[in-house]
Amino acid sequence: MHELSLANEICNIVEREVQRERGAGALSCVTLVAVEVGDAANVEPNSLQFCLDALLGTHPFGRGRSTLQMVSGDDLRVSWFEIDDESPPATPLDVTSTYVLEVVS
Amino acid sequence: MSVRTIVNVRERVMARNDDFAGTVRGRLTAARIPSLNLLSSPGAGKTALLEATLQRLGDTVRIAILTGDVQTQNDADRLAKHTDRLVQAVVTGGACHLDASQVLNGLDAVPLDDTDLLIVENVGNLVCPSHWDLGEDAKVVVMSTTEGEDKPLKYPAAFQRASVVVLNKIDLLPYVPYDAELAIRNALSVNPALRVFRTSARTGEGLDEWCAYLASLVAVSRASASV
Repeated sequence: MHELSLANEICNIVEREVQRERGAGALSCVTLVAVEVGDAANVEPNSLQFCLDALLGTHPFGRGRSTLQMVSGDDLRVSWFEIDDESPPATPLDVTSTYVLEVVS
Repeated sequence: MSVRTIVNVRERVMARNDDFAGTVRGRLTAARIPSLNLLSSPGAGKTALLEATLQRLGDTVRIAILTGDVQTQNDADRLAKHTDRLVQAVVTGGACHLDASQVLNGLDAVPLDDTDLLIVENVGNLVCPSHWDLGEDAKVVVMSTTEGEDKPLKYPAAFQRASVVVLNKIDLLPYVPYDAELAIRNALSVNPALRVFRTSARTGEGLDEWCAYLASLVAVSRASASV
């Protein structure tokens, strides 16, 4: 039920680390985020992965996905993430386009 | 060509929440204010128990309340009728639990030098709130006689992390098929250290013991302040 909160926090951690490694604006280089899920962490892995992939697949990330590793214990950790510097980043949303609405009377 | 780099992080996802919780705990400890985090499923009677508590202790213990709900300020409005002191509402807007940053923000409105006890009424939910440390001294789980006796077995994390369990609505015991002893045995099987209270917020039964417990928390805190 709270997996979206956790996924948001995971993205916050990754965002902070990416900015430290590559500077702001590099989030679209993130291709994979690995998360360790403790079996007693009260986290539903499928739900967490669904939320994570939804967040990593959209702005400001765009082309990330997640991989979960089940471990024993009650911790939930961001284990590592992968960045790909060479592939062209995903096409950002084009917010500058002008749309002309033709009104037919 | 793609150049892939792996960046190791190894950071706990709850680290930021726990930092906020640590700040809350530090402020409350410095001000010698004991604090409780009330958990229950929806409808167990957290707000009714607090209403009755405020009525009884209102003059003797200065209680500040921070109450969380998914929507509406109904609980805060109900509680505010029973006290002139602060009742801070936190509307989570869909989130199933309070987190420590919300408590830290709420704490800014609490006059710490004019408060004896802080009670946080969490969102009605026995799953998620048990995993967010809010900086409280102790968690209290409220269960009631209109639920199943197996609540502690179904939601062990909440009971394991709690210090106190309150069995509320005991006035209904003659009318409902609820085995109170079985429910308490179940709670103690999950956490043998639980302190147990049996209350009826409606009739007042058992509230003397509950209120005496709250007053004792304040007395212990004051005694430590004078050492």
